[in-house]
Amino acid sequence: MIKLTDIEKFYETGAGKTWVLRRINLDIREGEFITIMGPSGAGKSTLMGIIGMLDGAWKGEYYVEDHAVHKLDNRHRVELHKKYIGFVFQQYHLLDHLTVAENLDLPLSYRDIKKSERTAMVADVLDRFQIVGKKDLYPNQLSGGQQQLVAVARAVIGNPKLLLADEPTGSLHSSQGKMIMDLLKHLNEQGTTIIQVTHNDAWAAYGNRIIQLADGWIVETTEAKASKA
Amino acid sequence: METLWQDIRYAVRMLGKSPAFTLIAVLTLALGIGANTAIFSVLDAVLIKSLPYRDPSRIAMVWGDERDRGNQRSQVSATDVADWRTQNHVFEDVTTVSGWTPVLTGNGEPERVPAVIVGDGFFNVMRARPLLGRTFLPEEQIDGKDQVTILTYGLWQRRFGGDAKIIGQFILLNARPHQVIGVMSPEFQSLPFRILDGPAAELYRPVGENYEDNERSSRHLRAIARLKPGVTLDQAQADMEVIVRRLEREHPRTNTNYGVRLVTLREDTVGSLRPALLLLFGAVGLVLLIACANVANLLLARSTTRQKEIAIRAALGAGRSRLVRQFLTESVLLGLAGGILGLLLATWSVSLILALGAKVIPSLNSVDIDLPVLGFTALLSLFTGVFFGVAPALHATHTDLIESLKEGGRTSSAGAARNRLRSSLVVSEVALALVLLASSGLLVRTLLRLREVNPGFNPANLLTMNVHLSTAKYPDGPHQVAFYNQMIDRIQALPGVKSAGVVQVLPMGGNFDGRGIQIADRPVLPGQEFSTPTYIATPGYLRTLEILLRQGRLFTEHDDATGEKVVLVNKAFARQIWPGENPLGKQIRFPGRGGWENQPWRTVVGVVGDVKQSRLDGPDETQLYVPEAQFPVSWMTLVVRTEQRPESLLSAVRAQIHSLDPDQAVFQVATMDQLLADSIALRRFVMLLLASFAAVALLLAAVGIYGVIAYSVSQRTHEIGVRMALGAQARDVLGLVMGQGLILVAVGLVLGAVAGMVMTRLLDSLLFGVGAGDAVTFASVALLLAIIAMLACYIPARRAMRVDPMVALRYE
Repeated sequence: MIKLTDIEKFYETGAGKTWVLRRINLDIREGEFITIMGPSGAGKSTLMGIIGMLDGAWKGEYYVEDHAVHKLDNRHRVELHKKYIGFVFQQYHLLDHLTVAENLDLPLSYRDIKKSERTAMVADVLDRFQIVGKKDLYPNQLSGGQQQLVAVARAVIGNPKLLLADEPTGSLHSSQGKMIMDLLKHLNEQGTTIIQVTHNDAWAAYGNRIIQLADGWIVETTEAKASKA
Repeated sequence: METLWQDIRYAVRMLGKSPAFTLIAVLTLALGIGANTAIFSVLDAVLIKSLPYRDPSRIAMVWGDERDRGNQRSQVSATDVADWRTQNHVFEDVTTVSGWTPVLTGNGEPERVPAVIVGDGFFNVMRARPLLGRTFLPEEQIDGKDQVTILTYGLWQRRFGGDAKIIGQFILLNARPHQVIGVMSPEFQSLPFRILDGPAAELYRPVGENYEDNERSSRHLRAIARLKPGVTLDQAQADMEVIVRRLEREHPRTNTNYGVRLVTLREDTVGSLRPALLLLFGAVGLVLLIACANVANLLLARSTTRQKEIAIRAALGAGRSRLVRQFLTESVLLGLAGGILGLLLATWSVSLILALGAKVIPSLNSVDIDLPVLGFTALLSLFTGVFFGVAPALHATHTDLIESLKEGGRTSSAGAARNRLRSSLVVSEVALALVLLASSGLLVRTLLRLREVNPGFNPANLLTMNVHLSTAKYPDGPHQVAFYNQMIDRIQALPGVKSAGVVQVLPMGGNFDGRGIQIADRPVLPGQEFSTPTYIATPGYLRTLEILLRQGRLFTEHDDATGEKVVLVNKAFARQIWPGENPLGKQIRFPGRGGWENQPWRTVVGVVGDVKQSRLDGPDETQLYVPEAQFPVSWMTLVVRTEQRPESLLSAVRAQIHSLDPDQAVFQVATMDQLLADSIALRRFVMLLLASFAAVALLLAAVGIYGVIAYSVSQRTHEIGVRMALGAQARDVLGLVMGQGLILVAVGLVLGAVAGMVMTRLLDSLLFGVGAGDAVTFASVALLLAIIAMLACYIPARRAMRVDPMVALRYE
């Protein structure tokens, strides 16, 4: 589903080029649950940004199914992004001044979907995630776990084929973290391809492949231990 | 005191640390305070300071009140005033004044000197004493004994070098010897322009009337009185009512429906300016409010970056009032700095305002940045500092300590309140700017409408000048007619001159008294004597002005002293006096010395178009024209139609007049376009100032909108990043940011339109051809404001479109 070939990224600094990613080659099949691990500054989030098409300044080849992302202009990348990708962030990134329901509606509002249809989709997701009672609350009225639950719900509301989760449990305590990871696993079992970044071995074990990054290089790829922690 | 000093030092340091912020805030305030100072200095000189005479509040003008014509500012006759003088119980004295411009010859070049003819008691009314000699004696007020004069100090110095032996000497005024009997002290100032309809007087002469009953309708003077101590204007008015009713009974033919109206000299001089000046003062008040809103917004934005500092101070024991005081010290310092710079701006702009208002602002008191103005500015600066500082100070100090002390902690509720306040400030700025723009827009439309008014003649390429003959040199009608005819012949022969003529009173050349008339076959009942402005003109005058002939014929060279006595009427006259009848052949006569009976009837030979004689926005009035050859007078105005720029022919025209009579002076030279422009000078003055203030308001509002949206974008970088990560495109972000700005602008426009509909009613007296709530004007200025606001929003919106979602999200 995803094919990265020789992906490289660097910043020009006074001292020359500072490499962030070096010759990244990666194949991700549909339905996989990939975990990216590595120390701070290894390039994990940058790689997520490139896969998520939030970052356009890189070299190499990137295919999503048959689409050559490296050949697309920004407008077409945004269209592709909308069709394929959902994002979950460590800091939830819910908008403070929008209610839960409005936050869920946000990505749909960028997809030319009719208001009535959007309302139905939001109602469906609220129901699926069992947060109907929270729909009129603002993010600061929710716990961290609930906020991340809403963030995941928002990420999947547009039925993306690929869910990118950048340390989704990083700000949560363990029981809330487990709830979110169970949810991601469930989504994966229903067919969503997932790429997550985590520092936590237990959460890494939810996936079926672990990619280790260090100094911008892929240093190791291992199959995850079966089953979850 | 010590803590205050500490606050000031700290405030200076804080302001110095943000020079860009400080500069913008001080400049913004300087614009607001400077405009207020400038207008206040004019207001102070014109409306607040006393007139430069002794005990000026007791000096009043006594105007004729022609009740059946609605004219409450008509002139008076010497005979009536003589009666008022002996019969009243309320005046220390009442007397007459009237403008005069004799030619002074001898001791150098002939010179037209502005002068005043005054009645007995004038110098007593003005409480003025001579420096040398004496003032006029009562017996010098009689016709034939009035060949005496008093010089002003200025003329004595300028023309006679301060000659100590001037008293008793004779000087030539209009070629007649006048004995100098006094020189006034330098402190004595002339009556203002509005009373004399001319420049400041340089010499005085007695009125020399014969005070006969049949002169009662000869109302060509203005009366001025000094109230007795303790007598109010209302008491004086009541006393005069008794007198005028008595005169009405005694002289029904001339005095029926004729009353008087008393007005203080100040009210008469500046009363008509008061609404305009107060309006301008209100306008600069709005500019200052907008400036305050802008600076308050800057302070609010700045306070978010100082939350940590505030939290630390509070954690160390500073109470809220102490913190508020610290913030207020900074804002008051900004206000004072703005005040100082504003004073500099005001000094410069006062001279600009005076230049713009030269035809409008009376020059009795000089307009200076003096002590009262300095005091006003100091108070205004202090008040401004507190006014714009208090809301940001209260907001800045109302913060969550724990949240602020956490690194990167966000205080969303305080932030939301701050954003609401910032948004309301921008809404107010837009609303205030719309009020100012609409006001100036209405005046611009008024001036455009006035330019569209057909004055009844063609004003292009007309040169005008007064040519008043000396009655010593040209003692009777035939001499005067001969001079003017020769002058016109010579001028018409000049290359570049199309035609020329003379008239007694030019359109836009000042007011003119009505002349009583009798209409043949129509008996005159007491009080129903018909009076209408009558213009003495040569045949060439109507042709030169291109006044339309509607019926019959214009004057010809044959309408001379020996020909049939003729008269032209205008359309309005014909319509009013002979509705549905043919006016040609009808007869009219004017009164003369000794009454009506021995005066000739004059036949109407033509009907001409209506001319806007006194003001462009006035209704069409009845008008008559009589040929100069049949009604000669010694003071006429020359009108020359030229083929090129009229000014270019001035010296040639002057040369022709001097070739006829080297001593003949010409004065009040102007093109007709200038006279038309002068006739709308007050409106143009107010419009220019309002438009300048509106431009400043527009600029400040645009800066305000830009500031709020730019700040909002910087605060919403994270949100914009999230939205982009969720699929928002550049145009979505553009819409988001522009939408936020435009909602504020729309709310401001609605509020401003409502406020404007109410406030522009204050302009009513200045408007012409356009209503105070004119929808086209409001829509146009709202559109202009919206376009400027969109530009102001677009700059930060473009920045928002370039937000890198990766960077924005990582900053979290």
